[in-house]
Amino acid sequence: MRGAGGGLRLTGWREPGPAMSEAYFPVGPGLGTEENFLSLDDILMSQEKLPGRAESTLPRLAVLMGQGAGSAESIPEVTEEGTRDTGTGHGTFIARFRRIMDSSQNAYNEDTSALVARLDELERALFQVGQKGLNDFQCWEKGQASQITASTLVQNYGKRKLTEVDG
Amino acid sequence: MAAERGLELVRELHRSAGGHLPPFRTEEMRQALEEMRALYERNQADVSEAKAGRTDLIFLIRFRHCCLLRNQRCLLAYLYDRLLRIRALRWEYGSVLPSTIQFHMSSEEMEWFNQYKKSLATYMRSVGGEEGLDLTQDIKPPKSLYIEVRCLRDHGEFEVDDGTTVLLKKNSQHFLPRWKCEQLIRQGVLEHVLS
Repeated sequence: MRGAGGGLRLTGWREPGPAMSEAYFPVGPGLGTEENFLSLDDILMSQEKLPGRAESTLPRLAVLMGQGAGSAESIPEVTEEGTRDTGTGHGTFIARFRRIMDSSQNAYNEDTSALVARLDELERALFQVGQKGLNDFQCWEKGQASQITASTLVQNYGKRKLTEVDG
Repeated sequence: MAAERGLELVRELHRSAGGHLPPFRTEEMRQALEEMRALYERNQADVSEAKAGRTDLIFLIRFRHCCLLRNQRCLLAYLYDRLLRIRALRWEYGSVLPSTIQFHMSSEEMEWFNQYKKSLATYMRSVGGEEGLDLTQDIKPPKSLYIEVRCLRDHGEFEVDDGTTVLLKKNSQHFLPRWKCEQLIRQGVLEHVLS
């Protein structure tokens, strides 16, 4: 993660969030400018459109794009470069990071929707990590660390049966 | 063209939170592969033309090739992520999946699940001496051999080691061997009661 100084390192896997299955480990996003080929996050992130201009005549491209000649359609980014520019600099990042850590570690059993509403994807992931740490600690403090629990995956399937309308 | 169907598949999985497995999109998969086939055939034709002198087509050939690679990436990521979810089911649900989940799997995915089960079973038998070692047990550190459990829904008769049976009726409580109950607790049939 750029601009993070020495400490933070994201692994190739994503840590399970609060409502996530404990055994499902999706391929996480790549580090820095590298993408992980099989990462769903990286695929969607690299889908960002960039404006392009044709430098010379491109025969048959209009047909390929499904448009007439002279179209100004922007070409979706299909090459490898897909880094996200934080744009706001080192200092702001540190400040936001500290606020996220603080709020995630102190909001126990609360409705956190207001707290996460203005965070982007990466920040939400950080928030979730913080929440998980807090919940695990509270669980341990209450002596529940050795309590066998129902699988969240199983519970989610149970809930969905009632609400899902399958095609 | 630019892998819209492939992307839709990726988006659907990305939206499915908590490791949930949505139904296998056979039709969308078929359409995405059809799209790839069409791109490939047009490139075959244009490559012949380019070789015969139409070098102005080279950009287009490269562009179609990028689209093909993009499609390939989307489809591979879709299939792989689904396998990760199916693998999680073995650990969290057990070796027999409910039919609602099975309906969401393609026959190849079911085959993969069966092979994975076998590999896992073989591995577990090979460690831990004569009886093997059930790695899907004791996910949380055990504190005692027997645990107090409450039944969350009717589950019928349940046989304990010494041959006696227990009737798992909703709200009944029992003191049972931990290893027998673990899977039922994970499936939401029983609840582990802490004293």
